[in-house]
Amino acid sequence: MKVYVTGFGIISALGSGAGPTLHALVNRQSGIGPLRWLETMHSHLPCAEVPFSTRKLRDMAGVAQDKIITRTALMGILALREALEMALWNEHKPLNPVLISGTTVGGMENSERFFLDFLSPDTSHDQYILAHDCGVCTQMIADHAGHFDMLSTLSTACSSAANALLLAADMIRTGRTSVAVAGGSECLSRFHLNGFNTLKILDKDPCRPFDNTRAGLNLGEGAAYLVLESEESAKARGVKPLCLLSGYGNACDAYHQTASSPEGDGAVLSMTKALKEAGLTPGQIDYVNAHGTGTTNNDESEGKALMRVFGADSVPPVSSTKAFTGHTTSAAGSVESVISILALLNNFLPANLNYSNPMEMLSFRPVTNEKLSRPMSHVMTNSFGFGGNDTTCIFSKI
Amino acid sequence: MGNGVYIQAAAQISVQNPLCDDWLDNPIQYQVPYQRAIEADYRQFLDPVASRRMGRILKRAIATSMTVMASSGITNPEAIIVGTGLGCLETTEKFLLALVQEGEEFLQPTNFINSTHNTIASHIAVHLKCNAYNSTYVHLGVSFESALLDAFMQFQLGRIHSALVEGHDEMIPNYFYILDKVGYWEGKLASECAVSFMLCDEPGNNPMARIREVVLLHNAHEKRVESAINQVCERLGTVRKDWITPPSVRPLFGETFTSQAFEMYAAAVKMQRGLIADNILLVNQYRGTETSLIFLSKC
Repeated sequence: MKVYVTGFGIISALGSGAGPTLHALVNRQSGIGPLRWLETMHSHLPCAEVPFSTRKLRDMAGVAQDKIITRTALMGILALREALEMALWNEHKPLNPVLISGTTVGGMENSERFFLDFLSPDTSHDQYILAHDCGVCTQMIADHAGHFDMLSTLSTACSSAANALLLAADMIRTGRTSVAVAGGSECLSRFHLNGFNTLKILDKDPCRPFDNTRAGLNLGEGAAYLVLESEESAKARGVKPLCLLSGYGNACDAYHQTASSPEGDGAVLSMTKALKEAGLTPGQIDYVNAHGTGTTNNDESEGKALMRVFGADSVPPVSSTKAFTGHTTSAAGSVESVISILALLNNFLPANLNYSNPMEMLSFRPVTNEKLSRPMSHVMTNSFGFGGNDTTCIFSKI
Repeated sequence: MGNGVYIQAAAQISVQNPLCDDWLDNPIQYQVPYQRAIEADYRQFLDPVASRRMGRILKRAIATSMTVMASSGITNPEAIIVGTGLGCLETTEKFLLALVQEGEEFLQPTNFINSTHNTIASHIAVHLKCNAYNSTYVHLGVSFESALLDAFMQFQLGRIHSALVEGHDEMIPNYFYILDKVGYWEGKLASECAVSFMLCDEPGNNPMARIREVVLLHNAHEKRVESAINQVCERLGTVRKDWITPPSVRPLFGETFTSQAFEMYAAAVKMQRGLIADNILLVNQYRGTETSLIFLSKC
């Protein structure tokens, strides 16, 4: 059974909505810069914050200033709203829709502020205790948007949102629902900024994916959701399908908790499974949006995996868009799915910013040329997480 | 889906005696609000060096996984899917406490590395060198059922023949206190959960039970739940009264985010021994917002 995309929404450092995102991508405007909202002693580290304060996000989402909510949920609400509007949700309400959301940080932004209060007899911030859970974040996003018949929450670290798409698509394929919305949301927290910092994989300069001088990643934040729908439902609701989620694959690198295997075994498996499921040969892929974090380890491992899957001499145009959005961690899978769909529908190749020095062990160079326009039929996007949770999605024109 | 989805083996570590079904004849009763699990002897599963590096929740996961692999004879599962409400809470708290008490200067990476929820499923995969499908669900009190639903669909779509499906949660003293502050426990026994199931698309020599369907619902009122149950009953060629809901085993095993794994474990153990009806419907209603239905039949 085919699974169509009938709507999508996105918020990231590039702005709120598909329009501003596309504009920034085409005009090579990166969202990476100095921190504005997150309070940390590591303010020298560039990040890609969503360019709105939490107060402003509340206004944009129509959430009262005194309501208990998280920044992660607010970004999720905005991205979900755009996706639902595009899919004509309110005009033709689907029956028994499902929402699957990916997050890892959950309500940590409040827990890290109030944890000592939680542990003391002081009750003044206890209302944030239950909001710590990842699942509550999904509930906040879902219940603000309207009625969903089923919710679930995925957490496979930086591939969470991609795996949410997989579960949602399988729910349609097994006939459990005809419309499933999936994606992820994650705001920056001191917890994971410091966590990544202890691993010494944060670059003090804007990240340089696939460059020989790359020195780590920049963290970002954002949210994106895709409305997935069966052909029958899209027809019945009178909504025009935008593209197909034609294939997807999940595999585990099973190598190390935070490092990828040297030859990218898990990545090879997830890409191969996705191609098989889509019924495509490697040669039919027109563009790969790489995980491409900019760490020494990822880009080498993923680069070798791409050479293994596509052949050293026939790797299609590849770029990492993390030099635009930063690494949006749990949201990356859906943020980069939306970017890949924008590329597919607008026939352009997003550039791999900040690249100048080729990596010796790779046979290919990422997309940097000025002529980025070309017809496209099939695009692939990779999302890899801690623990070797590797997931690949393929989107195709109808 | 060939013949169906069968539970070939199940194992638990909990407040009852570990890795066995002593609880059936000699249940341990607790008169305390909060009890941690009785640990198994991990030396048979892990060498001491590896063991020292792992938190309790990870050791339990390895032990229950290895146990169901041994009893089913399936050593290379085609999926590893874990449900966990709060993940590796103990290591998460260590990193968080260091952050809020000592600041951002001298933090250590180890506790961060092991703080993500998917640490459990990926540790199992690394331990087994298993490259198969791997996922983790963290949806409150239906985290385990989310994992089970994913596995069930992987079987339905013919992608796998076997799957490790698990529910894991630990409860640390500070978090017990925090949740107690907001009245979360409602007088129930707060405890810990480690349950592994080996699911297979064939019954094998000694199946415990057959999983017929898994359903999750959000904000479902009573009528919606009943209509969902009736839909499944009809699809399975049965009627509502064929399905019996046994008394909950939560008073024995305690309350955790993944306690529904205990319910399925206990029902499967009893079903295999003929101590329970042939068609069992397990219903979990979590805090009025999330509902799960698991339909089990005797093989």
